[in-house]
Amino acid sequence: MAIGIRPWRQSLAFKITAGILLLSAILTSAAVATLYSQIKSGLYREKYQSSQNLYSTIASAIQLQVILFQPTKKSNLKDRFDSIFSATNVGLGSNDHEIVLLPAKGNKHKNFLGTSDGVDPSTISNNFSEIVEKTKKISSRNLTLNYIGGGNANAYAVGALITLPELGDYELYVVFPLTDVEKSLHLVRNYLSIIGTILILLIGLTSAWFTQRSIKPVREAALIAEEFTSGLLDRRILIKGEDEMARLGRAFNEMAVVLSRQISRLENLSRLQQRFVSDVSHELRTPLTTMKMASGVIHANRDFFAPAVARSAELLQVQMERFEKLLADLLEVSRFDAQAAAVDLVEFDICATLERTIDYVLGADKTFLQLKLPEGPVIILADERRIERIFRNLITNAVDHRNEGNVEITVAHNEQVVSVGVRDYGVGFARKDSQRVFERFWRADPSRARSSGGTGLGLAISQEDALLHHGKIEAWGRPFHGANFVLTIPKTNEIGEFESAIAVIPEDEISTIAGIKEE
Amino acid sequence: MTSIMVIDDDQHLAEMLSIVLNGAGYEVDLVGSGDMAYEVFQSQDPDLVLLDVMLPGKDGVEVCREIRTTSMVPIVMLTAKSDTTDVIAGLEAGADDYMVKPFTEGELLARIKARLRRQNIVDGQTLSIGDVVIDLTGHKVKKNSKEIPLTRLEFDLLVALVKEPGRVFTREDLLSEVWGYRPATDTRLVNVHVQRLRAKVEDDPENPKFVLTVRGIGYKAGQKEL
Repeated sequence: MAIGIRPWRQSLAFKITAGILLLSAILTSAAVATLYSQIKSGLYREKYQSSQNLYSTIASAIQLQVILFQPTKKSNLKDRFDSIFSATNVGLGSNDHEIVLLPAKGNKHKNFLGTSDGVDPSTISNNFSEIVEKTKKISSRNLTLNYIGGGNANAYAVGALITLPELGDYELYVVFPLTDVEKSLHLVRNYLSIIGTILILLIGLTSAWFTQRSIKPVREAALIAEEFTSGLLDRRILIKGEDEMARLGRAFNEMAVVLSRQISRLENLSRLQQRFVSDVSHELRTPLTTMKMASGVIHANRDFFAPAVARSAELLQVQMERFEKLLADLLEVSRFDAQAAAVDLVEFDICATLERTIDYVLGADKTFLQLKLPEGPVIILADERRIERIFRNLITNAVDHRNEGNVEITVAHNEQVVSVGVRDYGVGFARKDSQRVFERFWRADPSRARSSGGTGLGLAISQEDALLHHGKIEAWGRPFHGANFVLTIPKTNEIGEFESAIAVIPEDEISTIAGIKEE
Repeated sequence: MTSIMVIDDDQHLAEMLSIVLNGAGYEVDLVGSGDMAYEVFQSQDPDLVLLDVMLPGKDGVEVCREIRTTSMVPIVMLTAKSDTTDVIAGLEAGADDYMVKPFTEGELLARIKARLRRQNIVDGQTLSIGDVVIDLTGHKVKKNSKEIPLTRLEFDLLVALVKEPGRVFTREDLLSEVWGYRPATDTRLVNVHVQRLRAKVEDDPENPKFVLTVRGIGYKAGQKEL
């Protein structure tokens, strides 16, 4: 029941209105039911009362008839009975009541019995007549009035034992059909249910209107809070009056001011940082270019200088290059810190890029390298410049630390990701340092001189580059077993959870690890 | 003597550039601001322009656009930033190539040489693709007998592709063949120039017929089957 649940969950007004409606329905029904039962019992009570009265009147009429009856010569018992029975025909109308006059048990005039027209004597059950005979008092009960030839009605019957001279004991019953009472009750019930329904509807509408009205500011506040969250920091709640809503609004607005001030301060800081990086970049690069070219010119002419000056020219040249590399890396790192690194996505074959980078870094000296590529191109969507930089850093790192050992580069891929593993069998590093290798300026062995021209930022930048591609670089290392770095990035630059296509722990090391409990 | 115009506001760098360029046998004109650049350019008519992006007054991108209104001279931008927006803006304004500071004199001279290089062409040789006719001797490209003004680099790019119709060139192939050097991968250079070339020779640059993209690899010349 998605349609039913949604407004229930999402709308406070709906909840309140539904609650009020339910409660008012219960209360109204109870009130109507009570009222109805009061009316019903009142009506019946009155009917019973008038029935008893009428019964007494009829009984008296019979007694009177007994006294007044003048037997003639021809008259017999039958006439007598008939005259007595006709005396019962008093009252308000024929429909108002029916008479049943039955001989009592043990009366020999079994054939002398009388009923009003159409009334079946079976209306009076044996049970009722037994009670009447036994109690010798006026008894009454509700029963079903049967008509001869079908048809019946609910009725109230009053009966008692009377003694007729010469005729013996008789049971006199007056049966009052309850049709009129039932008709009235039916009418009352209809009126009451119409009134009840209208009442519930009115309460529902009123409460809906009222809750909508009182919920409106809450809705508006929620909307404004949502807009604020989505980045419209200048949104504020309009405050009216002094009620709870106004207090909520004021509190929200104060919070919004504080938050937006904080956010804009941070944004400003970040902007300043980016500006600073950009300025430093520009301001440093121009003089550096001049220096580099000057140093180049001097270096090119070193043959004409005295040996010490010539060597100085060489040192100057080398250090210029190192300085430049360091500057470039520092700028890159601060660009990451300022979150100003932009990704320029293109589709390309990562294997071709890798091979090109290997050629670029290693040149002709590739005897120690084993390259394992999958068949065919592996097309990915990524920033080729950054991927190439990762390769350059990983390969340079492996070459610097290979210690005359081999270097293996492997590419593997699946539907989702491509992994590139760079494994060396050199000095390696301690297990606990597998995360620290990505720290800026971190060295495995601080006492060891930096042999290469590495800046100490290469792996840190590579990790940032990988993260920028929603990927990662994992590192594994053991002292003098070498190191393994595995870059894994999603092929389509999608964010998601994934496994590397190459295990970071090298296969040839798993057995070693199993045997020895390390560190 | 080949003349090179250097537009740069940094006096020391400008001086250093002229030392290096003079040493390589080029004649050098120095201009220190963007506002005067176009005037000097018109009076000197240099063979190549080295243009700093950041200039007082008119910036390099603007100067580049100004020069391109009348001339197809090779323009190499010098930029202190390798930020994408900066570089792309320069290339889209009509620069053929760019160099990110700091660079060495070797790199600089190689780039200049590549931009000034003339291909060895047999007289009277022409190439054609569709209704585009390339006159290799006269360095002219005509489409429906109407000449299309192409920069030398755009011309070289088109010739490189058309010479071997159907061959798929990677961006790196094109970089080495047209730009004449192998830098660290910068496919933006190729992308922007292909866009510019398409804008000039294609009927509908959005739906190219001559310079086709081969997805994930690069470009090729070809007549798209219609």
